[in-house]
Amino acid sequence: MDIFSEYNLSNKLKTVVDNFESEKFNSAMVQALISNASEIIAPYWSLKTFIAVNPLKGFEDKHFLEAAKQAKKYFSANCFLKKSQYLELYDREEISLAALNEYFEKMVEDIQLDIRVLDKEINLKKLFWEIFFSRELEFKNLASPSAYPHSRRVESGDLLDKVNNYMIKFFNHFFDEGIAVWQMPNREKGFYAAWKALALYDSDLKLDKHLHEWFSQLPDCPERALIVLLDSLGVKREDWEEYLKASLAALPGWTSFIKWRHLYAHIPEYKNYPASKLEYLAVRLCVEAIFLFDYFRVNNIQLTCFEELERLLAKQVLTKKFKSVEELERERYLFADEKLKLTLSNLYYADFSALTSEELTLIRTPLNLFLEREAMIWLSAWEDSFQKPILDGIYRNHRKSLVDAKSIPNNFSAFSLNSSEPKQLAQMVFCIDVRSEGIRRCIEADSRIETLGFAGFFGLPISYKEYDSAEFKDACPVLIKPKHFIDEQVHSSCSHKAEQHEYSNSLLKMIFNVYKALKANIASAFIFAEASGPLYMLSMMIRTLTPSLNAVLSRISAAIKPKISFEPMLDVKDTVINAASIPDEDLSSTEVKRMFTGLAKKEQLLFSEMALRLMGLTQNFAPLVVFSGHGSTTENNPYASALDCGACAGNHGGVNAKALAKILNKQEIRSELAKRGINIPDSTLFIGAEHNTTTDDFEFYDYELKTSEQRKLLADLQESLVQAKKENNAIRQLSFLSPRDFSDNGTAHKRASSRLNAEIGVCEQSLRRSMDWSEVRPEWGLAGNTSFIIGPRHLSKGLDLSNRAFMHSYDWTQDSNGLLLETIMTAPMVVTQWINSQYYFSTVDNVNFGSGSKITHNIVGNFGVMQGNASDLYTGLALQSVMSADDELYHRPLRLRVFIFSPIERVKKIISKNTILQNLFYNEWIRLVVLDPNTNELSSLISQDHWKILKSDNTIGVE
Amino acid sequence: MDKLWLLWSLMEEMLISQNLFRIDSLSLLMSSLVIIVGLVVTAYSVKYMRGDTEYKGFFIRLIILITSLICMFNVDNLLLFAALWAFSNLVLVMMIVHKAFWKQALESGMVAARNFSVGIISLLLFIGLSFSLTKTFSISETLVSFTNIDPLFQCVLLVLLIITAMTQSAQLPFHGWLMSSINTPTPVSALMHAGLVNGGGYLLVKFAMALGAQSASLPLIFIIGSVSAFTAMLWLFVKSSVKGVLVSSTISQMGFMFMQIGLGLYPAAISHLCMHGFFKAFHFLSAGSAFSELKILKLALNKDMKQVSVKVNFLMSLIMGIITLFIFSQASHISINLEDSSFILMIFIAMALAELSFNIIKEAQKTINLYLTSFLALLSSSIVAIIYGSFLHFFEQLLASSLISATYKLTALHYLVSSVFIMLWALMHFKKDLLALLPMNLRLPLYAFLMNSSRAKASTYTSVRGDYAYLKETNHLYH
Repeated sequence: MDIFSEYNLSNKLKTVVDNFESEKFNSAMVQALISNASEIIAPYWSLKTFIAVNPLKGFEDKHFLEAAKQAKKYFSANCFLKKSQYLELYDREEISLAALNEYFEKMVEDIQLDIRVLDKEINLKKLFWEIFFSRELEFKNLASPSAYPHSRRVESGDLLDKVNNYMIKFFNHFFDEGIAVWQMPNREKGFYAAWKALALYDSDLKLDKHLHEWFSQLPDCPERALIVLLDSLGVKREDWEEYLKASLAALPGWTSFIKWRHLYAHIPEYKNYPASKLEYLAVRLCVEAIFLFDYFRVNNIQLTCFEELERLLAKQVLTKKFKSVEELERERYLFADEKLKLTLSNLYYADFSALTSEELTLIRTPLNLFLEREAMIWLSAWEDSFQKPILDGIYRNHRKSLVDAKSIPNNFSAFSLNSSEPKQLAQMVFCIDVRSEGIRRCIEADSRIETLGFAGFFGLPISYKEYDSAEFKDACPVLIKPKHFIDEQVHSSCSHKAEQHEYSNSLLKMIFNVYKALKANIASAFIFAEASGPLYMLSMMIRTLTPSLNAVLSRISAAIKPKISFEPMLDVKDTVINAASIPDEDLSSTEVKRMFTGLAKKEQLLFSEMALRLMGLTQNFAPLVVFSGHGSTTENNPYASALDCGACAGNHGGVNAKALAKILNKQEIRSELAKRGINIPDSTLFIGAEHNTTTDDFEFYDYELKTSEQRKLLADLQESLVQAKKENNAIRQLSFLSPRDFSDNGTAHKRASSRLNAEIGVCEQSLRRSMDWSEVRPEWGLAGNTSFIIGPRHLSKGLDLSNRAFMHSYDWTQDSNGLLLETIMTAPMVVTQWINSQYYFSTVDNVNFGSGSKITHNIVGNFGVMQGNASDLYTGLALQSVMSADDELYHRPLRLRVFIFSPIERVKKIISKNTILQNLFYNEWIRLVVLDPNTNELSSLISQDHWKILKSDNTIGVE
Repeated sequence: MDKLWLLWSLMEEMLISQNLFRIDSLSLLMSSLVIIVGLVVTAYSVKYMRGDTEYKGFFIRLIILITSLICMFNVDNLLLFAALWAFSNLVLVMMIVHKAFWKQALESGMVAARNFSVGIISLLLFIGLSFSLTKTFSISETLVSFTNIDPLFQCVLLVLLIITAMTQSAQLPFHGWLMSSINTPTPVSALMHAGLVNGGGYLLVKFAMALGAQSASLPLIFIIGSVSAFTAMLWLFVKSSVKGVLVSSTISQMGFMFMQIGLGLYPAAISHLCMHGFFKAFHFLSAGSAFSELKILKLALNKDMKQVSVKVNFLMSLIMGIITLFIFSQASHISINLEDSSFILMIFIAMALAELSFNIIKEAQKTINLYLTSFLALLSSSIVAIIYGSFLHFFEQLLASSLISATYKLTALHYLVSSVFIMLWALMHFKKDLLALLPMNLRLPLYAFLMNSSRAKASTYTSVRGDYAYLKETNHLYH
């Protein structure tokens, strides 16, 4: 009997479509459904401009532990390390017993522990403590997987694999951004339409006559199609959202890319080939339905009508009971009745064999509560143990500064950022990035240099076009959509070299284009491969055997292409129209943007004043003030942009530094600033620079030295920076050694460190890492980040924070209304939390949240990586970015700890005003510590409105 | 010491007197290819693989594989050759898998293993049959007595040989394993594409004398090669992953090498095989550079001058291609003979030279004027013609002691095949996305066909994210 008789299938579809019309499903409803369902997916930035983002961003309104459960449910992902790893850290004394005890006791308080069974009063604490340190018992599984799609993998053959494979294939071809020469037809019509046209010819779908009929009646509008398909698949209305969530979570990487592409990326090309989550879901469900029909047909399941198919689907797939967590737990060591009895007997020296199942349940209830919290205890205890030395150090510094202040009477500025005595040489402003911490520490070895921390885009919400680049790049945090465009011109001192520069650019581009064209050509590819073989052989040998020879090559290319400097064109062209008033669509092309370049004087003043106030640099200017953006140089590294400045949307940050320095060097701006209370002495020169985080080189941008005094100062500064580079390089090279080298007798470590002490060696090593095409760990990027210090530098000065702390300068005395602190907490702090979460989750579960090992990465479509032949889009950080070996952590997965030096009432007020902060703090995504300069109390936020005083010292008052 | 000496002389006795090894220019050339690529891959992997749990095992396998390949290229005994052939492929399969707990990687290895076993079985059948006919295992002796074998058996033997070569060089329809092999670490891909896939071409060239015994064998190889070269090139056009493109390219390039063998141009085939090895190894090792390449593409050009139309440019470059072909002919000492099979190679070279001129004219015009541009184009394609021509001539001289070309008179078939290439090539100048020229009802099925046929085997797709594993999970109770 033919189960898919024309009558049944088509008529059914027709009724559904009719229903659809009559019930008036409006698009708002479908959109709401989808936007609810897609909450679980976080956007994923293309690797061209990689931005760290919390992969569980959608769950930030839930408690961390609850989010961990959801992640387990939808992504089968772990949000904690394995217990064995925590135990290893405990053995290495990275987790202190005291901290463990503290959290353990707190948990015990929360759970009713005393239980009366068999007329015996027993306290379960002992049992819990035993479990806590048991190596055999892994952490409790926080949730069972969502009924779909995993059940389908089991129940319907390999349906899940088949549908996923199909979608992956289609994504590969649809989203391509320039790797393929021949594009998928109909891309401009959108994802769903392109698929629908192509599907008719796709042999994978095996559309026979009947299915063909059914297929051709599918609505062209994806919203309608989605409703129709949900109905056809027999999904009950109350399950719709859950079903869609599971469908999105089936390929979490690709769907998060779609989310970013659709909602976050302001890239005009993407609008030409639109794709949305809705279209993805419509296609996915349709493919699923087709494969299911096929499955039933192959398995000869007899159906008389379509309703029966529906019923069967519902029964087989959706209501199929999966083993619940409790059932699974029961099979586990502690949950099997007999085993639990035995354990209890051994622990409490009594006979528990007569326990009834009710009594066992009585024990299991608190046991369950404990097991759920177990991982959380380990994590929190680790965080406390890890942070203790830092907090101690900060408090010590604070006390010291108080004592100093007392000993020097009438000096109230000791709290403020700028110590009373002006620095003789320079002030250097760095990005809040954790890598700035190390180099700042090394630079401060020269006490004439003061360093400050500030968001690396230097407060300029701009889109920047470098002279050599054909397009504008956003150079500000991704949450800001820049409306100001800055173009570049050749610096007046280099204009004579401009022509040669142009020529070499066009030569380079010509050679590259010719090479590209010959390589992928039906006729010339063969001869090209052969004729160019010897060149490739040479190049390959040079690059592998002597990577440093690359340096020679780059020197040669520098000779051909003279280095010239560029300056930003800040002043607006004489046009009255402001770019802000132009709709986004019209601002898509580079040509249009170039018409609106520049910042009005008013804006220049506004941005520069705000920047100076935020970084707390309003007085005591040094003769040289260097704004240092940062960027990295690496070779053959798809993750290069992940190492660049996150505050500049994954680009190099030097351009912003250059622009701000130029603004502040203007006399007119300075005089306006003076009116507002910021007096910049004429002798002060602002310089833009870029810090290369891979080699620690500094590149200074165009500056005009006016006096010989300045010339001397700059020479001094550069000399100090060279020294700092050597020191920081030596420290950095040590960090690449595996912790194993430090173990036991530590001979390897000693040998390595003595080798590294030869200073020339370390700088060469860094240079090698930045140029070696086989280097998978050119630098550690932001790995290691654990805390964010908001306050003056003197609190953290002298502490070895090992590139673990973000640092933002903040002077509470200059911020009476708390506006500056609020800005810092709602902008840079939120960004640091994104970064911290990205590193946290990529480390605890590199497969589900990270992108696995680089050795099998396969770049797809010029925007992301897959593992091997084809797979989900692997989002997050590569294994090599967070681990020193497959089984050896480098990054410490700890939640961000924010330290603020400010009156606590001010902080409380700011939190009460901002929901986003409440979410992050109260749900324990961020842990907050505040040091109040008025009371000298160091207190930690435990839960909503509940603060715990960690340290207080009444012996030293301010009076 | 004496004992050692004795052992050595015994071995020497065995090796030399039994003629187990035979070292000639071909075997030396192949060995140096493997040594150079092997050296680079090993040095590269020292840093690239650092931290991998299989670090030591990886290098052990790598060294074994390189050694075994070198031996394979130098033996003169069929049994030993087959043993080394099988052993190399076995080690390769282990290297493809790398981490067996990633089940799709294991599956990639299995796909390769199945393919190689077809090749090995066919090779063993060849050896068995040839031994029963010639009563020798020595390759050189087999070749000498091959002409005396009954033609029917000759055909059977050659078919077996060609099948083995096809499986190793991933010629259609045996391309699936290479397409599915990207689950392997990058350095393994580099070595595989530069070394092991060449095995097929090497095998055919080694038995070149045997191929000459049947006049149909060379055209057959030519057809096999051209089908692969053509189809895989179309796959390359639709592939959107970096390594996927490289794999398609290898299949296509191997196809071209088969075409060269099929034209009787053995030295040219060997030259192509070696040079393509370097070319492909380089591209695999730099497979992470896609994003930095994009930066060059985005370089701003502030001058944009008026350009000649594609038609004019194409005509100009076609003329230049023909002019420089004569230069090439002089440099390579290959005469242009419209009826000789070497003419097909000439057509491809002319197209390549014309393509070079075309692109130089197209690109250089953006900054300099047309006369200068044309001169530049002519100059550079002449230089390329001279260098490449002398290079080919050098190879010919180098291999002269062991290999000489055996060209033959062309048939209509050859002209037909090359005209397909020429047509497609010419058309693509006017519209790069050739498919877009077709009406939708042709374009869609063609695209769907290319999309589906260029895929890796479904079982080697990591279809669920959590299936990927870099570490063997030891102590989890449930997942």
